[in-house]
Amino acid sequence: MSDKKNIEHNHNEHHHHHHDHSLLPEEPELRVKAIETLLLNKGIINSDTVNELIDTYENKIGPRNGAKVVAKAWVDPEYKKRLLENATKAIEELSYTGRQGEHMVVVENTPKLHNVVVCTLCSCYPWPVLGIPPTWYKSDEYRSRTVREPRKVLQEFGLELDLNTQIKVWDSTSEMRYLVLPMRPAGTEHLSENELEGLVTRNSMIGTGLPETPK
Amino acid sequence: MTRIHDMGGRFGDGPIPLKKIDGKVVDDEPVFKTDWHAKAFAITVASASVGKWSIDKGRFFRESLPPKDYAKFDYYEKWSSALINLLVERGLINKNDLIEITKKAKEDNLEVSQVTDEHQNVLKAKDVAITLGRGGPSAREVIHSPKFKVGQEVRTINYSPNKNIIGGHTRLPIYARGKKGKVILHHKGHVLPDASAHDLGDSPEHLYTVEFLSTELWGDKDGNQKDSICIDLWESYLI
Repeated sequence: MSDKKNIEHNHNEHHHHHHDHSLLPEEPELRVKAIETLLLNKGIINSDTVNELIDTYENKIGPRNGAKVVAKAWVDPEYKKRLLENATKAIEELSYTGRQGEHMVVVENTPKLHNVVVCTLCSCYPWPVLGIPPTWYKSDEYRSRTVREPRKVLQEFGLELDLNTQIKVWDSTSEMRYLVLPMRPAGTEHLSENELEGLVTRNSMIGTGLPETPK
Repeated sequence: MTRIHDMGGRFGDGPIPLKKIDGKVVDDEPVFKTDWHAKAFAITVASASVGKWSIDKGRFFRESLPPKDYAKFDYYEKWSSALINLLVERGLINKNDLIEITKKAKEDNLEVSQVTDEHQNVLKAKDVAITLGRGGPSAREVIHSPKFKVGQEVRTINYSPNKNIIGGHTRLPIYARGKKGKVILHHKGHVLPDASAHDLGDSPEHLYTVEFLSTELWGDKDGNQKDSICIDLWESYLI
């Protein structure tokens, strides 16, 4: 077998295909409309499915799921233990499973350690618990700078960490998806799980923020 | 060498694009900023069920956009452009289709026709929840025992780990090549993206999380004595 030849052929094919998009209209809105129309007419996608997918991520799957996981871990030490030992299974207890959260790891913040999550190579993010990532998470600025200067990046989020606190940056290069378990804010002993859930912000579960404090 | 997407540690990018009011971060961005963002997202997810490319192949097509396009494209422009390139590569659409639809688009004449023969694998609305809930786990059995243990010191290889394809897909970022770190987690066997992105099967390998000191990656001056960076790496990336 002439493997080398095949590989070279594939390489050229790839090279070729990676420019096909330039045949479409340049203006992004019109380009997407053209692709959508083409795919609908070819029977490759279905318009009800398109609407269902948009509705799912706009209304059903988002950071409130993650907030429920965090609040439960704050009030239930046994759950927290399960969550840190096998996050995928513990999160499945709350019925959050599947696409882009197939393999979960939860990393715990402590007074000495602060975790922050990034994906330098693309935009990997735990969809079942946090939904679709915000624009800043997908930006070149966040992707390039967080691994090299996490303290400066966190400062821009308004997060000034003690110089003695260690920062661990998690670069999501595989299908493992990371969720930060933030520290429970002081003065929340009297709050219910439901009330605590309201304090958990999206950014606190990525590591670029802290939970809110009770008013 | 590497490609334009591999930007960890790069200099020159400005402030994180955050919405701030009175200096405080405000997190109230809608899930999709525009209708076409939502559409680009949904048609990509929906097409994957028919196109049957792996998630790794999808990523490879995004990072293989010409660097000039990658740099100027909005996130969902990258998604939709890579989608078109994938559909052509898979033979589900052809160049003439693209030329024709573009002509219609420019004439403001985009019409959805009555579809009589939907593709047999088309994702149906009623199956969306179950399909998303199932996802696509990447864990696989690996017969041989792991080469490295948690706590062990390892070094990453100093070149692209993709042995099969020159310029092929890999998940070893260039900023972590040839660096010394310590294994902190072992995730057992997972699909190897370097193979899966090129239709070469799952080729599963043991996957580890390796912790690198900031100073090991960025040097004593730029790095921070306290901090570390944890990266998921496959066995063949490590020595």
